[in-house]
Amino acid sequence: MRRNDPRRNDNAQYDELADQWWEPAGGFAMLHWLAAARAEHIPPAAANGAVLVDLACGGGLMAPHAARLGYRHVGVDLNLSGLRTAREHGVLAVRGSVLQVPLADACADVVVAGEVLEHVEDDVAVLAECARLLRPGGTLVVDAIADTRLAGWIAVDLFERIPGGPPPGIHDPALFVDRRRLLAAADRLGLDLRLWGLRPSVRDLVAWRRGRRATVRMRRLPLTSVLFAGSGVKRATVAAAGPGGHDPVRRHGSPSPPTVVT
Amino acid sequence: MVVVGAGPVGLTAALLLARRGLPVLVLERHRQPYAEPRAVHLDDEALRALSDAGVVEDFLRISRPALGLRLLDARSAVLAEFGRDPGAGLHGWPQASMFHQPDLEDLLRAAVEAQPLVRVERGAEVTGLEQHGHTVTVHLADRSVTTSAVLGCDGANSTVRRLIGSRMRDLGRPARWLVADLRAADPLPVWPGVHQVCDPRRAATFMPVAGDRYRVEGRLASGEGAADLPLAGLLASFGADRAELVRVAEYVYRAQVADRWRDGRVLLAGDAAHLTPPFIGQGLGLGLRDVHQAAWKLAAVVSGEADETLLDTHQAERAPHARALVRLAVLVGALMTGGGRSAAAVRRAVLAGIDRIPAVAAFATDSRTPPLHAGPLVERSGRAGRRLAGTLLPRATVVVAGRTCPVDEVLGAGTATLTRAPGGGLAVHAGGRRTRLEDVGGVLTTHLGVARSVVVRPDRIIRSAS
Repeated sequence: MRRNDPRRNDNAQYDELADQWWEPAGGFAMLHWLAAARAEHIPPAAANGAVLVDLACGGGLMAPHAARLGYRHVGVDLNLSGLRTAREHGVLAVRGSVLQVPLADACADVVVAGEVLEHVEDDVAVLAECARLLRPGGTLVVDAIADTRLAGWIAVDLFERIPGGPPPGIHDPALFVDRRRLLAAADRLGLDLRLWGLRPSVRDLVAWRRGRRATVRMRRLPLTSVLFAGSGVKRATVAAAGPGGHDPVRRHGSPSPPTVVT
Repeated sequence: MVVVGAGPVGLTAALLLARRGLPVLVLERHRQPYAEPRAVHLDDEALRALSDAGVVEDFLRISRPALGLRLLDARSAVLAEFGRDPGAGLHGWPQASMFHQPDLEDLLRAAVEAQPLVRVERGAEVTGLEQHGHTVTVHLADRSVTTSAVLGCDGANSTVRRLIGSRMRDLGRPARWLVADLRAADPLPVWPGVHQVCDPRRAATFMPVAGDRYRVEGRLASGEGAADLPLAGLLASFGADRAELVRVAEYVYRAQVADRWRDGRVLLAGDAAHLTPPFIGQGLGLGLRDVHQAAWKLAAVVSGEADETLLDTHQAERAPHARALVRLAVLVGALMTGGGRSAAAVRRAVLAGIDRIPAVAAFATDSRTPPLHAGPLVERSGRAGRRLAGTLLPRATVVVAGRTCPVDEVLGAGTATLTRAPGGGLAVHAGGRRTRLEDVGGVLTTHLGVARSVVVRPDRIIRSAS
């Protein structure tokens, strides 16, 4: 488990930025590009009513992609202002933590966990929730920032200083993701996860900065040590230490002991 | 969302939640639907829940208007008769409807099957509930289900009630009754309303239900068994001796309300939260009101539109209302059937001619129930607020841009404001839009009285008036 810097990664920041979600040149612009990149790894819905669960959905930026691919888009987030925006974009909003998602096991054909693993103390617990929510054969798509000094320097020291970059203080490098640990956990959880790197297209970026492009395409990169993405399929049978093998509640230590209603 | 119990209250709840976009899993302990009739009456306020669930048209097809109440003495002489206008009441439907409960459950099941967001799982018995943060884990015999909230509509012997540590509190003594359901090939030559025999020694009720179905009920004295009740004689006294007995069952009529309706994200509704004697026909109606008022609150909390404290209003609003109606049922039962021989004589004297006093007749047949108590969502302040807040807005017929529709269509699914428009007429502000409407029958304008504006909650209850 990683320690959070209290000055950084504050959930209240999203309330202040609530009107920015759908601004093509706002502080969340890159999240739109990442949403489009994520969508490339999601197969079209196989059946009517197929469910895409979007963990930490924020303002629901996956909505146009989920709709185009034919999914019922269920967005989970703790932040009320983000959920409100997501609802306005047709997302079925569910308030909840990505560490304890209020949805049934195996309810999802696709789970998307974009730019969330590097915002929680226990990223493996989030991955366990992804595995729990996915039906066997379902697809997981993730992206996050790697726990390298290079990533810390680029994402925080460099990008937060660039006008139009990510909002200052939004990232805490202490929470950035250990890829090897993530892959090992994925295997334990019955997920065939593969990772690759992502970078924005430089030409698009220049054109976007000049106002000539609305979005920037993300390019695949062999290097996963800064921004990385991954996708995988949930195996039909899970090894002994499956989703039950990692208990997000016990391991993470929720602030108060769980209320047993019985 | 998980709804526990696939009876009429649970299925209506599932439809109401699904209409708000929430996927619902209904868990029912019994493998087969219970095919025996229980409830036979609903008032027009309770139909508002069926209307918002999208099944009121189907309900009107399987029900018939109730035609009033006749009080009889031990020798079947009429003591008083309260006729009821079978025409449309304040909400556009008959004030009271009679129906065969399995017919209602059939139509609810059909509606649920046509609703892709609802899945019903039979043979699923809840064994435990656990809550962590925004989740509830429902334990079943063979697995568990993680969900955002649970609505326990699992009836008189509610498991959910037991699991949240809630207990029933008595509001009256239990009474044992024998209930017989009847069918008649040819319509019976009987008065079409409810017959109540006000005989303290053998209180009894007889009523045509709907279609070819009838019901007779007789109170059992302590120590008496089902065989001690002379059913044939009772049927003959109502002119129902040609009817065929479909089922005879002994019931214990209880007057109880749960002391705790909520634990975190787990709520109780229907018979799980209250049991009532049948004298004013409110058993099922109370349950439908519960889920009508709980559905939008649950949807708002689950989706993060509102804070969890919104759920505090569930018990705060529903329990006093249920308690008032259960107490009224106990009182009416006692007035009609209680006491001894002298009470019967007093009753005879008091009832002679009472049905000709308009105020008494109006009270006896009024389907309106008490307003909800004041609270965060019921602002009973000011002259208009004290009169209107906490009551149901009439489901009046209005004309919008030349089209006739019930006002509920204009109010939409969220909170709406109904105001008197300058220069006459009415306007609704809902979902960021303003719609002018013509109050063709004048029902709304009359109902508003001195109020210039009312705020209407998603369950059509007036929140505030000014």
